Amino acid sequence: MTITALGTWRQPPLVYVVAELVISPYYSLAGKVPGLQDRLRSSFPRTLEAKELVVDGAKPSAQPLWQLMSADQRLGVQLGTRAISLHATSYLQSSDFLSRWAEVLDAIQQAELGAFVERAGLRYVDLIVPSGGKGPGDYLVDNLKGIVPDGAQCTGSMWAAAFQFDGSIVNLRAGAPSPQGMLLPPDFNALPLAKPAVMLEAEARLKASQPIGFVDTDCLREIGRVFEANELLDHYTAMQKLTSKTFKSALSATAREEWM
Amino acid sequence: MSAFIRPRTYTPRDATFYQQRPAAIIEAAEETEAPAYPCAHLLLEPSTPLLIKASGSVVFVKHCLTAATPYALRDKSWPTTATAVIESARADARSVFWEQCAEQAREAFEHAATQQRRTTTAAARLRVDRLAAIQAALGFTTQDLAAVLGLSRPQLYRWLDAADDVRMQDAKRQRLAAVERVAKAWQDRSPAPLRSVAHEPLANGSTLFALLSSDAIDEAALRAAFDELTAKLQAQPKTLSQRLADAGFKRRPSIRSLPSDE
Repeated sequence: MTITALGTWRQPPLVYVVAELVISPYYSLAGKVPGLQDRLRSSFPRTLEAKELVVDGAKPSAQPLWQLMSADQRLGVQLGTRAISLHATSYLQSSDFLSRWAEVLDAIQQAELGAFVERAGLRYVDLIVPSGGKGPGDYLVDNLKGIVPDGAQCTGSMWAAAFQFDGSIVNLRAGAPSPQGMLLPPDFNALPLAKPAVMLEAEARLKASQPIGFVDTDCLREIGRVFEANELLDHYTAMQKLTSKTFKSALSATAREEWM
Repeated sequence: MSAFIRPRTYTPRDATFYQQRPAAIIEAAEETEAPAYPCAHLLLEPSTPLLIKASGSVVFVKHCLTAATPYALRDKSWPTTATAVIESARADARSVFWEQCAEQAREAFEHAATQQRRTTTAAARLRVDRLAAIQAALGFTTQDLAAVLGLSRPQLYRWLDAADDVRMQDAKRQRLAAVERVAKAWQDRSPAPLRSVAHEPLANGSTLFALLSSDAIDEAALRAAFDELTAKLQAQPKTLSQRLADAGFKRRPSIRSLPSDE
C-alpha cells in the first residue's frame, strides 16, 4: 500500500522532535531495561549502550544510558537514570507521534517502574533553509529579526523568550541566521538518528558557507507525580497544542506561504 | 477467600434489610477510583429498573426499590437476567455482615480498578480518540470506515475497543494518519459529515468514497474533490430552513436544551 502523503504542511521545516520525561534519579533502572526492551522490541529492535556524565554537586559520575532504535533509525527511545525520551527525525503528524510516545509510556507503565516524574518536555527543532535569494530572517516575524547596524552584515543572530501558559512554559529560540557552522540549537543532545532531507540540505548550505536558521520550540510542564501513562499522555496532548501555537506565531507570511 | 460477594437471588422481603446499611457499600464503592463502564439497564420483574455499572469483573447494582436506595454487588459472570444481591443474614449478625460486605466491596472495587488500569493503555485510548474524531468528520458506517482504513470489520472493532492493545503496523499507521488528515481537511470546509456527499459523482466519474477506499490515498485528488463538491453544494438553491436562518429566524430552544436545574 503506498500513500501520496502531503503531510499537514506542504514543505515542513521540521527536522527533530523529542518527548522527554525528567524523572527523579532511578539508580536501579538497569534491572528494568530488559523488560522495557522486550516490550519495545517490535518497534525498536536495535539497542545501543552509552554513558552520560552526570554532574550532581561537586563529583561527576557516569550513568548508563540505553538507546533503543527503530530499524530505519528514524525513531529512538533513550532510557536513562534521570530521563526517558522518544526522539524522531520522521514525523507524519502530531497524533501519530503522540501515539508512538503513548506506546513507550505504556511499556514503562507495564514495566512497573513507579518512577517519580519531575517534568515533562516536548521539543521541536525546525531548520530554515532559505530558497530563491531569501535570507533566514525572512521566515520570521519582524519582531524577531533584531538589528543590523549600517554597513554591517549579520552573520549570527539569536533570539530567545519564555512564555507562560496555564501550567506550561514554552521556550522559543530562533537563530536567523544561525551562528556560523551551527546546524542544531546549542545544548541540544541528539540521538544518532537518520538525518531527514531538510537537515541534509541545511548541512550542504553550511558547507557552502551559506546561511541557514533554526527555530527551537521547547514546552515544559511540571508534573511532580508518580508515573501514570494515561495522565501523561493528556499532558502531552495539551503541550503539543501550545508548542504548535507558539511556533506558528514566530512565522512570517513568507514562511507560511512556503511551508504550510 | 474470594474477593467477590457471593450473589443470591433477590426477594422483595429483603427490601427492609437492604435499607439498613446501604451507606457502607456506597462508601466502599466511592472511596475507590474504579472507572465506571457504560451503564446498562435491566428489567427486574415486575419491571423494576436496575442500573448496572460494571467495573472490571465486578458489577455495581443500584436498585431503586423504595424511597431509599439499596445497593448490592454481583459477579459479572452472573446471568444478567437474574437479580444479584447480598446474602441475607440473621438479624443479630447483620451489623457484622454489612461491615464484611463493605470490606469485600472495597477489595473488589480496588481489584477492578487495577484490572481496568492494566487493560486500557494510553496508546489504545489515543487510538480510539483518533478514530472517534475521524468518524465525527466522516460519519461512515462501520463497514465503510473499515474500507477507508484498509481494515476488515473485525479488525476495526478491535481498533475501536480501548481495552484491546492492538499493535499497529507501519502501513496501517500511515493510512490512519492520512485518513485523519483527509477528515480534518473536510471538516475545515464543511460541518456536515462527509457521508452526505461521499457517493456524489465527481467530474471525473469517480466518487469521494472510491478515492478514500482505494489502495493509495491521493490526498491532492481528494482535496480537489472536496473543493469541487463544496462549490457544487454552495451553488444549490437554499432550503426553506436555510433561508429562514439567513433572515435571522432562530429555532425555539427545545426542552432538552434547558439547563437541568430549571
